[in-house]
Amino acid sequence: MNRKLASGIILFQWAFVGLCSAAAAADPNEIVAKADLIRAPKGSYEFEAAVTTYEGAEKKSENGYKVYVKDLDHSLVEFRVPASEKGKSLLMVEEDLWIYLPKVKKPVRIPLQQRLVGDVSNGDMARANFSNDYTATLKGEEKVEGKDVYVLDLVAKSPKKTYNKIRYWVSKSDNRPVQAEYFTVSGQSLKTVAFEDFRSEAGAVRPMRLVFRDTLNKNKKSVLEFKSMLKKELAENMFTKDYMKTLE
Amino acid sequence: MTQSIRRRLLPWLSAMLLAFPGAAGAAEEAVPESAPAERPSFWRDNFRYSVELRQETAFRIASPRNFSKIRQFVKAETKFTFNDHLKMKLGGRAWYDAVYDLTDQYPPDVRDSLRKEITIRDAYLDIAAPKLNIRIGNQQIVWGEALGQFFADVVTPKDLREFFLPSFEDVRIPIWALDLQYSFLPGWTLEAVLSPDMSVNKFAPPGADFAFFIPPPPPGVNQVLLPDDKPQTDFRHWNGGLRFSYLVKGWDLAWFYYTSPDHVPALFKTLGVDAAGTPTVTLDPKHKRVHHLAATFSKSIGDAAVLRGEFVYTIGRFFNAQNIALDNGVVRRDQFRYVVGFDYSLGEFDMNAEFQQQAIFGPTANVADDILDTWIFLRFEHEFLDAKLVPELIFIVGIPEGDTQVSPRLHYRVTPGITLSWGADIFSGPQDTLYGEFDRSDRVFMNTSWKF
Repeated sequence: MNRKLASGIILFQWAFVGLCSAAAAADPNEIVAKADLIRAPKGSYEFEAAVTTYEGAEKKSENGYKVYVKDLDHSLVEFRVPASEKGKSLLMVEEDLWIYLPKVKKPVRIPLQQRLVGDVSNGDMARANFSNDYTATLKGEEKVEGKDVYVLDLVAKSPKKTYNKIRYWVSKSDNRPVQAEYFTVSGQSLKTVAFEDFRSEAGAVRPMRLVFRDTLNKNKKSVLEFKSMLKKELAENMFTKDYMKTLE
Repeated sequence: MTQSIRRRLLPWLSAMLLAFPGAAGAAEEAVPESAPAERPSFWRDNFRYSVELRQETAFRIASPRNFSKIRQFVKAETKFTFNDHLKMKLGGRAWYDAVYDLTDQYPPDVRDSLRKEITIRDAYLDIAAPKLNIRIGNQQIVWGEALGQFFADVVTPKDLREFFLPSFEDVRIPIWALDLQYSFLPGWTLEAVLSPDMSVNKFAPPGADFAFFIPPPPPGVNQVLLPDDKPQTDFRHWNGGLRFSYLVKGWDLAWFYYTSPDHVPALFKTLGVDAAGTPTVTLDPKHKRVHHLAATFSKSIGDAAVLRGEFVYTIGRFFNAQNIALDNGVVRRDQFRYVVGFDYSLGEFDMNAEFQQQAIFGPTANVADDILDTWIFLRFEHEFLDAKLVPELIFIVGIPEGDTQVSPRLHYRVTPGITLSWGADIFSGPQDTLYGEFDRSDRVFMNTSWKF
């Protein structure tokens, strides 16, 4: 009797734990949130970034930035390379975007759609967070390069987001982002991004290289590389358009 | 009972977590730093400089045809970051224009004004506290939202010796000032500016390509233009103002008040007789104090467009009177100026459109200047070859006079630091209109810029 009871309890425990873990694993928004924490730290942080664009094997351009991020939706991008771009900066506060141009000497409000360089948008650089901006549904599971991954569909919570829909592949074993595909409202594929070069940075193992490929022109790609990522307390007034002139 | 269940479940949960580390808290795990860290460099991190060398050549295509600019230009800036709270910037520019030595088409006053120049530009300290930004020194303080006009840009005077054709950064004259910005709530900023600098707009002397039109005197009357002396620097004449800005539901709004001697001189007139007995009108440019009250806004419309605007009411500006024998030939009136603009971006294509209007308020019977001026400003730009080749077109038309400026430009980025620009500035319209007055200064140009 005791043995039967013990077996029953163990069976129940297995079933309960299995259900719990299945339920936890199956929550697509949680998967995206965990992948977000791998992409970038919580709170405020800064990093340096380089974007290299290619057409075939030919390197077309190289740009360097210093990026400051606070509370997911506040970011400030300082343009550093090449010399002709020095002094420019880009501020993104929630859905609002300004660019500071040394030739104009003032922050100019710009539409969210404006690209940064190559296939890299302002949003790609300044916002490493999908869970805040998108609602996820689990479409299934696949194998990508031998890895078991979740396939998720992300739909923008607001029509003002950089992309309306994203298909997102996340590793089942460790929640690492693997790749994503970005779509327009009409469902047309714009570009893909592969998350690569996982290294220890700012307290976790993170993808330090993102490779963007143009869906319409397979010959084109842009490589976004992060370095010197550092968690740091950043003042609130850094993320105001009046602060941008101090970066010039 | 609860504790008992917890005790029994914990080993199983632990086992599950070990088997499926991704199921909870995979991120933010403490891992040893494995990547080799780049060695910090004090100078790389804290000291920056930039230099721009520019060669600007312009050829006047209206009669008399000739070179109107062969300018060698250098701008250098250094910036030193002491720490997160203190930065210093020092910059200057210099030019030499060979056209004044290679040709003899300009009067001596024009040669003296435009042949060469060395000036300090940005020279300031930035002090940052958690809610306070302070900038003290020689600086450009830019208020306003418009891209094709300076209506709300009232703090910094302008160098108009080449009209509005150079970049806005080159047109503005930095002033010595204290600028405090206090962000008292997220998105809410109060700014105070105080300046003893009495700099005013610079104008090209008569005879230069971009000298502003001065109505001629009646037949048989001489006209003498006295030098434009800037106001005295004393505490009563200091410039200052307050600006309050905030962001609410995507609306970027600002209100400000600013007072200074008018950067645009009023031409006070005295009638007399010269030594030869000829009646003479003496024009004496004076900069009387004005007060600006303004509101500005910008707002994103969808993800591809921006709406922007600025509204400025200026109190106490002097205008030309029809009766030059009374009250020094000037009348004091208020002026209202506004711009409403719309920007649109689609991929590599950008467009800006602005409707600009200015009106003189009060009795208008004795006012010689236009009571109402209207302009439409359009700018189109498209990037080709990964932004290496950028054609641009600026078109401005005044209504109802029909005076226009058409400026097609082509920018070619040879390398990330070197840019070639070709273009033209074509003006047309009656001589007493803002753009028509330069009808005889149409030009084509080629600029080479090297930044490093």
